[in-house]
Amino acid sequence: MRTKMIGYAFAGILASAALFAGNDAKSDNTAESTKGTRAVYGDIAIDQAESLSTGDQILKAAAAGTPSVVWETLERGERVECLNCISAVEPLLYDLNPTNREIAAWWLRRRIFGVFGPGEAYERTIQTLKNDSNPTKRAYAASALGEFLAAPGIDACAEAIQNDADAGVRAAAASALGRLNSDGNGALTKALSDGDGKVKLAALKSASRINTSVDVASVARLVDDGNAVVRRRALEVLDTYRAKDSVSAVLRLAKSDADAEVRLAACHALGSFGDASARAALEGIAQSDANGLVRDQARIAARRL
Amino acid sequence: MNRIPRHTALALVLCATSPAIIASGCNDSAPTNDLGVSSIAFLKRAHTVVGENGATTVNVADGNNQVLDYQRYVPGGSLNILTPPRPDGEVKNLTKDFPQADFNGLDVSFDATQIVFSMKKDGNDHYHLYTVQLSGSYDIHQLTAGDYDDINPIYMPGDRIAFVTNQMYTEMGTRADEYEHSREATQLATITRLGGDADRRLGAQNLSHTVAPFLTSEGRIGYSRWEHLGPVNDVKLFAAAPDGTDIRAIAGQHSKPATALFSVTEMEPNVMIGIATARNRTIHAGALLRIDARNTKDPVCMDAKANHAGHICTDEENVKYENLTPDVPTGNGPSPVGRYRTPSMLPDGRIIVSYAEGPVNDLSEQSVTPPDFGIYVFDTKTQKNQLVYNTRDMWEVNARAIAPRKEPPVIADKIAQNGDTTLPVRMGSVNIRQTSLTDTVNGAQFKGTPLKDALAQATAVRVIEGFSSEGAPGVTMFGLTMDEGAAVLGEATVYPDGSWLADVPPYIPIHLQPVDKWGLSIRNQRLWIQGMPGEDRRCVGCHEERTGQGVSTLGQNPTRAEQSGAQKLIIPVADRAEYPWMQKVQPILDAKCVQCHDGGAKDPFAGKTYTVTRTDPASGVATSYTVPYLKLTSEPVTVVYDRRAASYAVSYVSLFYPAAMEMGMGKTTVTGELAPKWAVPTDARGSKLIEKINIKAADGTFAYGQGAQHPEDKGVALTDEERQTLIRPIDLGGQYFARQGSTFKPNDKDPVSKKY
Repeated sequence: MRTKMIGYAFAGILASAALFAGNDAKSDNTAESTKGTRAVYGDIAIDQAESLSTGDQILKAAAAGTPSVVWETLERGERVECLNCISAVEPLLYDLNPTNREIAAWWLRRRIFGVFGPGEAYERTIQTLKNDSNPTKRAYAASALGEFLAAPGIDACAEAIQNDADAGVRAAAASALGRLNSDGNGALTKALSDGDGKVKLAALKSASRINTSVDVASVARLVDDGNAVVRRRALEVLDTYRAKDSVSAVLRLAKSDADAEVRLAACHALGSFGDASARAALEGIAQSDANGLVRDQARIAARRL
Repeated sequence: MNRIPRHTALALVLCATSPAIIASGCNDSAPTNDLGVSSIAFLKRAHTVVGENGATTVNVADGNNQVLDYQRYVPGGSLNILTPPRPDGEVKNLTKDFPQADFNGLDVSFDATQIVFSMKKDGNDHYHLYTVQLSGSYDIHQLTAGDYDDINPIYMPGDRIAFVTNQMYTEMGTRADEYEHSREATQLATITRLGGDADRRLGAQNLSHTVAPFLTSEGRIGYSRWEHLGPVNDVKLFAAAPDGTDIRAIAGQHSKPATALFSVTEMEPNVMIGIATARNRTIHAGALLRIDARNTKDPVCMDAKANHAGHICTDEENVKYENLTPDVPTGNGPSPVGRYRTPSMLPDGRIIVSYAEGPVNDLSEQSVTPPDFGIYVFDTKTQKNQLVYNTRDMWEVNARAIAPRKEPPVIADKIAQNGDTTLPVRMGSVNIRQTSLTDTVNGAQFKGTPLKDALAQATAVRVIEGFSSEGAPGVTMFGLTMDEGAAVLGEATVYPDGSWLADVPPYIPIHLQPVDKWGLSIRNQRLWIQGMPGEDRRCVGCHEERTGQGVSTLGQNPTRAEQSGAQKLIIPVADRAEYPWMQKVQPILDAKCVQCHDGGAKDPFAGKTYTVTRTDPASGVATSYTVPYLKLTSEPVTVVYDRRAASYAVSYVSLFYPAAMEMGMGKTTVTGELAPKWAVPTDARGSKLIEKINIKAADGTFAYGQGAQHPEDKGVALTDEERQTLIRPIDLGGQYFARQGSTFKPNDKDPVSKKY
């Protein structure tokens, strides 16, 4: 989202200028924009071939593009070796817009030259996470390390989860581990027991996204968290893990949690566990819960058993 | 949060200034009088919210940038019915109990008594599927739940509901496309109206997103699919049976007037209307396109009312397109006349659409002016829109007539709901030499050779699994290629009659390469194919004519491959043939090549380099990177911060950089003599390295020339297998990394693996 800054009159001027500037309004793929792709990969139909950005387009988008233009231009610049563009794109790692930050890291990480060398963008990002005094910049650096998907980011984010004083940074680092498809050698488990709710929520989301399950007991403990959203998310992770050992705790929440969304998530998890011992309770909930959507989930879950 | 009303001044400016507005996009001043139905259902989606602190935020395109985007959440949306469907009709909000909700697709049941819709109740929720009864107390029921998103539902015959989901499954988890990052790829799935998640079934995975399913008159699930395979990057139409089997191409595979065909609905059998647009920047909107995929060679198929059973009634090679709104761009430039989205059909054959005036692209975003999507009836004759309903402060989209409609026949399942999900998919061809493609093949024995002739020399079919480059830390940069991760499941023998047959893993995206006796790919299939457990997916040829003879049926002579039995290419992930450069290729170079190609005294290219230079625009400081003309050692091309960071061996850069340079060098300065394209992604036979080393087949013939092989001419012998280990990674796309040799671990929560 962007904060509204520009008035309607200016919008009209922009639109009119674009209309009369002769912009190509017929197709985004052209023989010229797909020439490089087809030179290497053969004669692919223009409507199917990857359209490539030019260096000028990358520089222009990085300097002043809207998020959708930045996204398209950098994505299409995947294999455009624009070394002079690196220093223009790197500041986008700290842009206010999250999609700009994301695609900037993606483009940078696909560089052969100019990013991973000593003193270059990747090293600077790690140093920003470690040392910058601004917690927002540290959080953005953590997110960037997640998008870079390079192994050193795992330790850097794990360290931030352990040591950073700012909860926003720790949450960003926990999210980054999800992108890195890693539990950070136990750091995600640490984040699950963080005192701040948003860190726990970020860790729970990552726990459900990485390929290897994190400590189930740590997730299970969160079903008793004071924050209903944390309880709900913890149940969803246990659901994904098919954590049958948690049946009794989950059943308790399905029956009696004060939050209907928590009860609903608990019912769905019980269906996923496939433990027939929950059937009678689910059938009861399907009849008696005050919330119709919870009753729906209890009925469906019972049917799965 | 409170919404604030807005006026789309931009559109007014456009209408006042643009001489181009003569036809499509201009609205008839008179609202429509009669849609022929008593009510319509539609969604309101929000774009502007006022926070608790009073700050206004406007979301123009986020989450609706690419046509594949589905995670746009702006609170304040609703599901509504409008009765009668005209501007002064009564709007009934069916989801008023969920004031923080957003919505992602709806459909009306065949008997018009129920609506299925996708809703995210609040910011902490996921999109899931619900139904609401269109009578009584309008009860809402939730059919799906869990830690994933279910969107774009449609009713299917037999009380089924089809949709797409980003639920993780298979060993690769989501198969997140590297262009969408954390927005996991969505795949086809079904539930039943009564059973919800209890009857949940997941379709075979594509490497990239599947979106916007639609019902075909045959009772199949049509859908748009992001085809991202190496240099191919577009959105095409496919259809599958409700059980996920029998995936067929529908349109866009051969030509189309835009890079994306999206938000499609059927007008009559195999004739569709949809949105033609660029993949990016048009806020899910574009031109209205009529897509005629009928097989014109069969008169039965041209009769909409005829029984099409037993006829092949689609012909994706000869689809006819008609842009019903020719003034609307099919690219992503600013439109002079607005753009359309989410068309659907009224019972009388008219088209009901969402439409917004103005550029409806990133200019809208730049001016922080959301397009004002409202509901209109589009008149195909006058190309004008008649207003049905519009409010300035919300988007009105996904309009559907609430009227009974014909329920297509139920297609019997080939795959049982609770069947064995580990059963292989059987794939093969009756005769691989049959093709309708007109490509030519170059390199080695071929010089402008028609594909059908080249295929006569196919001795095997290489079966390749595709996976995302985002599978594990350290495998994320595939190097100097646009190709995805690749693992060879095996090479199935092509028999003298041209047949081949193999059993491959279910659910996963694969593509094929027919290879010749030297192990060189003849053609790289640039379309993902996949199958469900136990499915039989045999073809006639190698992209045979689509309206021709079908596969052999009972009573016909079995092929040689069938007589010999399918080759088993069911291999665990860890054992699939992958080619991580440092683990598989570099050892061969170290053992057989670097004694000369190390830049030392014996190196014929010693000291020969070219340089790429960057200049920091701020400081003016220039940094140069030197690329050897040909150097095959393992030394890192850059010194990398942290010993565990990924780095590229100079051998890899030296071999692949020349081809990469041809794709685009942006603002980079290059000096020195450029090397030839030693290695061309997916084209080993066109790669100078392979030509230089030359390949000897089992019959003693050589791929290039009459027998000179390198490095044998220097007294060093490469084994046949070593040569193949140089060929295959090039044919696969020139990836530097793989899952093997990385920290990749298969998804241990796979719900289809039967581990639970």
